[in-house]
Amino acid sequence: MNATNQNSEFRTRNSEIIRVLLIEDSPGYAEIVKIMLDKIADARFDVVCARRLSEGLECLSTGEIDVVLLDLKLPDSRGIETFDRVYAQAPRVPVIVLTVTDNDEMALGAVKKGAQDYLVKEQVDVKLLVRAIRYAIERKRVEEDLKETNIFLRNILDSSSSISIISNDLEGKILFWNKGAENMFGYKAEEIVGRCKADILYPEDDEETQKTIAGIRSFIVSNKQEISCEVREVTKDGHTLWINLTCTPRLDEKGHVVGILGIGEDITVRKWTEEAWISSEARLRTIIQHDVDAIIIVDRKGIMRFINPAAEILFGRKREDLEGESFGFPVVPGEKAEIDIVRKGGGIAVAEMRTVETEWDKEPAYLVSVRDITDHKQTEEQLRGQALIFENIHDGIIVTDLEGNIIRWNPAAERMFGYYKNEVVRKAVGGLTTKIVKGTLHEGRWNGEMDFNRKDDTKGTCETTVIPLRDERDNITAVFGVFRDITEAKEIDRMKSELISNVSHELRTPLTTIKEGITLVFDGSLGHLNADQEAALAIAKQDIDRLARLINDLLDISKIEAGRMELKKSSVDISSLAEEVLFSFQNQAGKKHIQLKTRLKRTLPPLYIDPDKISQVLANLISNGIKFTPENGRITVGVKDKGKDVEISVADTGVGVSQDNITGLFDRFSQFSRVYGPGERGTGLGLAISKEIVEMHGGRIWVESEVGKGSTFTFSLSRLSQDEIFRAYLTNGLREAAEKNCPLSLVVVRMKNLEKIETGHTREKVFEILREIEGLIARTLRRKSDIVSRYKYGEIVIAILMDTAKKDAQSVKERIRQAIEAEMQEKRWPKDIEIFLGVVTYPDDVKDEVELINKILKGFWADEITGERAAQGGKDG
Amino acid sequence: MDKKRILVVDDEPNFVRVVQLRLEAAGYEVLVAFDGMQGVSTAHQEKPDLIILDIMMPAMHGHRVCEALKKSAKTWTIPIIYLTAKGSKEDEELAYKLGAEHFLTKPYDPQVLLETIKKALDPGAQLTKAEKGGS
Repeated sequence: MNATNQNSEFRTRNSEIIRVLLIEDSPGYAEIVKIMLDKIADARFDVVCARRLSEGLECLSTGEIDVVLLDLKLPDSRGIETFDRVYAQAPRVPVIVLTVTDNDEMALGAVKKGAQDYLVKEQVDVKLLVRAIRYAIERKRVEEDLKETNIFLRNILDSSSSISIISNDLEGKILFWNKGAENMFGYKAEEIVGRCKADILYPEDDEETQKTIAGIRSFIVSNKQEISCEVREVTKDGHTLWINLTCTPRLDEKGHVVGILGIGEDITVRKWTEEAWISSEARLRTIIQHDVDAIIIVDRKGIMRFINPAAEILFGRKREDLEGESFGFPVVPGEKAEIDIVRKGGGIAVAEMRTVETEWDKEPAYLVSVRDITDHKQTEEQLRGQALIFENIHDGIIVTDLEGNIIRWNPAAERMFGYYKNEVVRKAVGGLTTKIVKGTLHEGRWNGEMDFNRKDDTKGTCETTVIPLRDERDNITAVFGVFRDITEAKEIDRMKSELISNVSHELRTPLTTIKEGITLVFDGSLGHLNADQEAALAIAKQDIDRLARLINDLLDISKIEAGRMELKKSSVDISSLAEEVLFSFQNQAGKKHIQLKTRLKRTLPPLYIDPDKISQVLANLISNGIKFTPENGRITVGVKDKGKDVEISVADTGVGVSQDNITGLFDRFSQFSRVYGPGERGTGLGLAISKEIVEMHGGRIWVESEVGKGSTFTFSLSRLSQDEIFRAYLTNGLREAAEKNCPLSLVVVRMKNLEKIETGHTREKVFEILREIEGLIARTLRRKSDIVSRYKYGEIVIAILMDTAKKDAQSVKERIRQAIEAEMQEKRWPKDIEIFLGVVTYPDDVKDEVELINKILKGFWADEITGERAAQGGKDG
Repeated sequence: MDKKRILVVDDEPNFVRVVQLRLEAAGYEVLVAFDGMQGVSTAHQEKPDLIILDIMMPAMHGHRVCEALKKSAKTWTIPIIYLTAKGSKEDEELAYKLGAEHFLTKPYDPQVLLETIKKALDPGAQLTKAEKGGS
């Protein structure tokens, strides 16, 4: 693991100054962002603010900016155009778009167009902001690097007009064909890409070439190394060419086992000269005179005897100056060598030299042909450079194809995941790659934290950025992922939360004792107090309560951070809950002569929520309200039906929050938001916890406020139907039962002849009875994990008993039956009401949810074993 | 009528002491034990009317104390109220599964504690319990 290295790397980067350009027309919000960024200890942010787009663009053109935070709505520009103009001005600077709603199409549009991220203004907190900024910078850097590399490579490939570069897959299908190849073979890229090379280029009669090509292929597949050879190929207009072919396993997109990159040089003339020199020296002279390669005839003493025009150009000197001079390079017939030639104007050309024996002026001599391969070399260097980065970078780099099969896997990835390259290449490794590919193809980019399993079964976490890789023709062919191991950092985070949790527990015990000690004296249980003593103890008590709240809040926050806060959801009548919580503040409000009012919606079906946690949210909002509302004010708790959601609001007539402070309100320890009135101090954690709780329920929380007039805090909760709630219970219960391998029983209570009864009584009466039955069952059940729910639009009342065998469920059923019978007698329910109770147990009676639902709805009641009539109470008496 | 006797099992002497003061002020007689073992043996010897039980204790863990008491013919009828700083969902569920009557967390509200004790000592509650035991 090299997590330590990465940490130190991270720190170095953190200590740099990050220049942020904030283009935002609200001075208040700009101030908040500044304050937030100032709070960061481990990084320094230099924030430049621009109120108008024009100012912002000016800043971008003059200053060096690391990241732009951009509001799309500005006085001088609106909408996506704002982003376009910033991007046009500084395409290399990462942009984070600020938006007001979570579903802003414009912001999403900007992200699609190249913005790195978007942030919802009200939801921005310090952690989120810093994280977004870091990610944006990092991501943009990776993207820019890759883009640059791609463009650079493309240029090199296309500029080598005398070298053909052909890339094909293992079947020989051509995937890429550069300008050099077009010149050499006469085929345009469009006519040949996608076709099979062998069918077109190799002469049908030339078995040797066919064999050579097959040999190259198997050599590359088994040895994964570069190989060169000479082959005969045919041009479009039917000429035969001799090509010196250098084949390398495909390094970038398809990996060495799936493709071959061929670099070809036309050596026809050289080949021909080698074969034909003897036949005619005169003809040889003509040929070499016109050859594109530099040809030098060197005699046995190493003296240059003949120089062709191409050689003059290569050496940058006249033939007259060179002839008679020593050649200066060792000449070995039949060998290829690479030589460096100093050009006349400076700079070094890399050339390949080939030598054959010949005869010149009737004397034995060497024919040396020299070809400038500088371009070719550069391409090679470039590829090698990339390979070096790939091999040595600390971050894991994985390239996969579109099915998620791994193509490349660098040594850092080996260290991180514990798998060697050969173990994973061409395989799709678990959720790792599937997740990457899906996300990336869908979003155009994927990044986030990911948990992974190492080969030795230990777990780790990494921060991941993945982008699609495009081939030479701009089609997405692969996916490229960078993985940074943050396991250790996460572990430290976890230990931190654990420490907070432990410390809080340790603090609680003595605090409990102190509190109880003082309370005992204070409430007179141990004797009478005089007024001063009582006052002194009251102060102590108040601050102990504050300390207790702070510890509780810290515990909550640490639970939330560690992802350990669990919701215990049940069906809850939100209006009653809100009322109950509000009236528990009666005393406190009374002291300040604050009126408590409700505006509730009584007819709402129950919500599926955690009543304790939602009470905590309500209590927090109400106590804040009381705290910030002057004497003779008013607190109103409202419940509104919003169709899909229910909105619960707590409105006060207090001091209000200024617009500038609204954004940071839900941050931890943000107590700057409201002016303090008299009364107890809060912990500064309440709203942050409330926000987390509401969001865990899938809702939202927000505030509207006017300074001096009051604030309204509102949160939304999803309104699931009763049946959906029951199904949710059932699904969860069955899953838990299956996991823990324990039984799950249901006691089902329904009226036998509901339709008939309804004609006799009003539906309200029937449902009142069903509600009473639900209440009765709730009181009969003992364990907290037991749940009472209603199903089929409330017609069926069902008790869900976790971890309860059939036998035990039968005795619970008996208790329920007795309770119902007693109630029937007492309340004198209509005589024609017949109630049936039944028990169904998983896995004894049913094996899945579908069967269970079927059993409840059908079959069950005709079933002789389970249906059992409750004695009709009023009948006899 | 005789004073009801309550056994408080907790390893924090200061805590035990304030609870004792609170309960005595409310008119109960209080017995104390400072670890799980002591708790079980005191319960067997003294047969208190109710037991207040902590979880994290030396010698014997609260859950094991509860289990032992609920399994013994001598002590299974004594209602047990958990009073602990370790208030996780799992602990609560386990406590009820082992047969505890109530589960309270520290710091406690004295009013709630006294009412819970009253409810647990209430003969009506005892009846439900007896009935449950019979089924």
